[in-house]
Amino acid sequence: MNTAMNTAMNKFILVVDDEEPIRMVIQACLEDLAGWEVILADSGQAALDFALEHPIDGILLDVSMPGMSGIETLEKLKANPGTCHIPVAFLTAKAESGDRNILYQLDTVGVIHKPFDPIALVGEVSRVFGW
Amino acid sequence: MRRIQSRRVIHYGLAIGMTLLALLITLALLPWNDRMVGAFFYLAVLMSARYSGIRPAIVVMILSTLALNYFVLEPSAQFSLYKPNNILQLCIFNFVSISIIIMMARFRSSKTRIEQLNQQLQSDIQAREQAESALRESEAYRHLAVDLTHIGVWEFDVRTGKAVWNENMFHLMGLVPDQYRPSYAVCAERAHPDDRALMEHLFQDSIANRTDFAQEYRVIHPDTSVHWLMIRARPLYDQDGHPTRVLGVLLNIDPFKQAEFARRDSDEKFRQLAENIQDVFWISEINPSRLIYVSPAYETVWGRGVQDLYQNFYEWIDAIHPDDRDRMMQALQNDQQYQSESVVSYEYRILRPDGSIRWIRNRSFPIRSQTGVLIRLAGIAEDITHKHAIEQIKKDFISIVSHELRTPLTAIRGSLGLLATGIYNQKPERQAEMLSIAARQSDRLVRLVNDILDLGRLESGHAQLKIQPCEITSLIQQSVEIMQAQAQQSGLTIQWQPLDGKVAADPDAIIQALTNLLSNAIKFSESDRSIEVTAQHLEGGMVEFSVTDQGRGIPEDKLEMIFEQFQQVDASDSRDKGGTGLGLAICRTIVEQHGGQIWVKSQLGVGSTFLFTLRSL
Repeated sequence: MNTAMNTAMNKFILVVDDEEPIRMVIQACLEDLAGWEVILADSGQAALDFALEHPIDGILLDVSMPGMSGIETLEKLKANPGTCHIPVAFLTAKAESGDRNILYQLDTVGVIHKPFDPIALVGEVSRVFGW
Repeated sequence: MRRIQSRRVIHYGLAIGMTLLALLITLALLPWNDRMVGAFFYLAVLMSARYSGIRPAIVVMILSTLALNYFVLEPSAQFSLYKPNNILQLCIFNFVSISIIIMMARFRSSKTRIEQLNQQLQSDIQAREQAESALRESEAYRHLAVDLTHIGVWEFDVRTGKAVWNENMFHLMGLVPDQYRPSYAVCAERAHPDDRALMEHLFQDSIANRTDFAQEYRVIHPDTSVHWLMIRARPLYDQDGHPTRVLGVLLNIDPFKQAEFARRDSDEKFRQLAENIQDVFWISEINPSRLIYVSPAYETVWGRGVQDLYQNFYEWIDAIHPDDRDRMMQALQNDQQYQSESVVSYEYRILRPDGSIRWIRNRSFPIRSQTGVLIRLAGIAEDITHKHAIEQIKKDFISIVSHELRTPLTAIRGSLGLLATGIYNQKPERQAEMLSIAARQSDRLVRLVNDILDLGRLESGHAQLKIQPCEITSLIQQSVEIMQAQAQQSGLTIQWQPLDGKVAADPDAIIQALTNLLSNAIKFSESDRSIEVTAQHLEGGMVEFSVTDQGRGIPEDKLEMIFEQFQQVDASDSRDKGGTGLGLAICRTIVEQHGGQIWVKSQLGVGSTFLFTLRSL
C-alpha cells in the first residue's frame, strides 16, 4: 500500500443530510467500500453538535435541508474555532448552474453532485478532501 | 455750366459774324444799288433772332445800326446823326428789327412749347401702350388661371337672383352648359341638403355684415356623386349702401379633402393603435435629446404623468430603479450599438411613485435621415413584470423538481450500485436493507412523476375537463371507497353523509381532488380517529364539500402556502408521510378549473377541515 492509501485509511467522516435513504446509502458506500468510520446527522444543528464533540476528518454536507440550510451550517462551522479547521464538501441535488457557482465560491473543499455513482463515491470524496 | 457759357459765346460770336457778313455784302453791293441798304442787316437780325435768341439779335441790331451809320449812310466813315433822313432810316431799321426779334421770339417759344407737348404726347402714348400690354398680359394670366384651375367665376344680382358665370361653374356643379340658366337658385339646389341651410345663412350673413366669406361645402352631381367645393365671395353695394351684387369664385377641392380625410383616418388609426395597446410607444429626437411622442399607456405602466415627461425627458431615467440606473446609463451612452443593430433591447426595473417595482423591456429602433445619419429613435416599452414573475416561478419549479427527483434517484442508484458490487452477497440483512431503500424510493419517484405530470397536464390546459352533471353522493361515495382500505390500514374510519343534488363537474378530476384530501387526512391522523366527508348546498347555487380530520392541525401562517407546489407544513412530511408536496396544488388546480374555490380551516392539535365549492345543477 502506498502512502496516499495509508493516509486515506481510518478516516472519520460526518455525513449531514435530511434524507434518511441518502444517509444510509452514503454510509454504506464509505464504510463498506472504503472502511472509513461514518457518523450521521439529519440536520445542521445535529452536525454542529457532532463536529464539536468528535475528532472529524471531513464533513459531507447537504445543501438543501429544512430549517438550517447547508450554507448556514457551513457558516456556523467556519465561525466556530472548535470546528473551523474541519474541511467541508457540499452534497447537492441542485441542477441549476447558477446555484452551483455560488457553492464553489464558499469556503469548502469541493462539491459532490447527486445522484452520484456509489462505486466512484469513495474516490471522489478522497479527491475533494485531498486524501 | 461751362457748356451753357460756350453756347452763349457761340451765339454772340455768330451774331457778330453775321453782322460783319451783312456789312461786307452790303459794302460789296453798295456801288450798284444803295436802295437795298439794310436788307442784309435785316437778314442778320432775323437769322440771329431765329437761331441765337433775343439777346444776340439785339446785339446784331445795335451793331448793324452802328455799321449802317458809319459805313453806309452819307457821309460815310463817320457817325452822323445830325441828318434827319439818317435818323429816320436808323429808326425804321431798329423798329423793323425789333419787330422781327419779337416775332422770332414768339415763334421760338411756340416751337418749344409744341416740342414739349409733342414729347409729352409721345411719352403718354408709350405709357398707354405699356399699360395696355400689361392689361392684356394680366388678362391672359387670369384666363390661364381660370382655365388651369377650373375655377368658376360668378356674379349674382342680389335683387333679381340672376347670375352671370363662366363655363367652369357648370362643370363644378356637374351640369351641362346651355341646359341651365345661371341663377342663385340653380346653385342652391345643387348644394348637399346637409350644407344648404348653412350656405344660405353664411351668404345672407356676408351681405348683412359687409364681409367676404369663404366656406367649404358639398354639391351633389346629377349622377349622385358628392363633391367638395370651396366658395369665396364678396358682396358689393350701391351708393346708398344697398347690396347690389355678390362676386365670387368656386373651386373644386376634392383632392384636398381626400388627402385630409386620408390623413384624419391615418391619424385616427394611429391614435387607436397607440392609445389602446397597453405597451408604451415612443419616438424621440437624438440631437437635442427630446421626446416627440409617448403613448398614454406610459401613465398606467410608469404611474407618472405624460406631460411631466414631455417637459423633462430625463424624468424617465429618474424612474429607473437605482440598482439598474448605472447599467442603463452606460448602455444608453453607447450610440455605436445602433450602427450595427437594427433593434436594441434592454430590460430594467422602474420604481413607481407608489413604491412598486415593474420590469420593463424596451426595444429601440433607429430612424435615419436620407444621408444615413441617426436622427430619431422609435421604441416600444413593455411591462414584463408578470412575465418575469412567471419565469421566476418556472425557474424555481425546475429547481425544486430537479431536487425532488434527484433525491430518490440518488438513493436508488446508490443502493442498487452497492448491491451490484456483490459486497453484500454474504450479508442478507444488508442486502434486504438496500433493496428496501431502492423499492421505497422507486415508489416515491413514481408518485412524484405522476403528480408532476398530473399538475403539468392540468395547468397547461391539455387535460380537457369533461364537465357533466354528477350526483354529489356518488362523488363522495366513490372517493371514500378508493381510500377505505388505506384508512383501515392506519386504523381510521371514514364517515360520510349523502346529499341530494348534482354538480357540474368532471367526475374523475373531483374524485382525484377528494382522494388527495382524504389521503392527506389519513397521513396526518393518528389511529382510532375518524375522518368525515360532507357536502351542503350554499346560497348562490354552489355546493360546498368538506373533508375533516382530527389530525395535528396546520399553523395559521401556512394555511395559504400549503396549496402552493412543494410547500408542506413540515419539510420532513415528504419523507415521513410519503407525500410529494403536490397533492394540494393539484386539488387547487382542479377546483379552480371548475370555477370553484378551495381553502382550509384548522386548529392546532384539534384537526383541519379542507373545503371546496362546485357549481350545483
